[in-house]
Amino acid sequence: MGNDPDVMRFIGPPSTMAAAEAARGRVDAVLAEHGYCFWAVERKSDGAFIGFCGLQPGYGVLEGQTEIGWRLRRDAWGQGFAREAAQASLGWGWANLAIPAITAITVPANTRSWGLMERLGMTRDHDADFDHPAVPDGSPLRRHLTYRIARPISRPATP
Amino acid sequence: MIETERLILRPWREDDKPAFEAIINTPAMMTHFGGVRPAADIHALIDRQMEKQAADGHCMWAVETKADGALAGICGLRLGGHPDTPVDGVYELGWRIAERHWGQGIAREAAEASRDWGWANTPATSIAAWTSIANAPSWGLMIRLGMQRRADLDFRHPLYLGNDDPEGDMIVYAIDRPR
Repeated sequence: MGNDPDVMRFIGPPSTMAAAEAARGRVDAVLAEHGYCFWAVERKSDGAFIGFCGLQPGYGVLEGQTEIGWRLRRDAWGQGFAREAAQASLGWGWANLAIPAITAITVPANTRSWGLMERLGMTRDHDADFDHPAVPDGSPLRRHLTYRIARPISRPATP
Repeated sequence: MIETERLILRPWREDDKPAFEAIINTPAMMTHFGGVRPAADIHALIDRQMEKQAADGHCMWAVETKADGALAGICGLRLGGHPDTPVDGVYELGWRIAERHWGQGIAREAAEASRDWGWANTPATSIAAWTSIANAPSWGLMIRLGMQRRADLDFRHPLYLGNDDPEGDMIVYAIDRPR
């Protein structure tokens, strides 16, 4: 997945096996420390690994916030898997973490990504655009958008 | 008066009312405030700020852009909160910035200056802010101002007591005075 140029178009250069292993190590460390992470997504029908989706504690500009993210194999696109996985991840977050809100980031050109953020009920925080420090100056992938969703309020019915 | 890199925050003048109404009373600006209102309602909002300025020495001030001296919105500290709610008597940080300035960090610049003015010039031990759950740019800025979610202070806005419009459910964020 990580070396598919289509999948990586809005992320950065296609990754090497070594980079993928390093990323896996980071995810494992997040899981060990926090009990959740960007999980592996398996398709139940055949047990195939089709990508990742989940929550992680934000770092850098997202310090103190909880981030939702996803990435799917090219052949798993267009079938609603990302939405299904992301919806479940949001629900898991509200049920299991004492967090008020969840944040997502993407680049302006990645319309599929922020399109899903909107379909998940997330709202763009138009004043929270930022330049991603890990992306080189001048790259079209440097500017990032921020989307947010707040924990749904459960309010007793008014008498 | 507060001066920041791009902005001036100052008390209101009677002749600000038409300009304020022009930038504030639009469908996009009023989405989370009950929609476009009669002009008199918007003017009354300025009257209330002038009263707070006279009584407390501060209010949610007029925000001007230094480059052109034009009114850009409202931002500042209002003392009082809402009676019969968990935010009764608190220092409230609030802002509304004209659509043409969205995405430029103007609200953040004005809000940070207002917050810091509060620490320097009032006895506030904490400063709170609130908005509806649907207004993510607003509570997003609360997060970026260093505020923490305070679900224990959530309240139903007094203007929405007679209905169950979700816009009336206020979620509260607050920050304690730095030690």
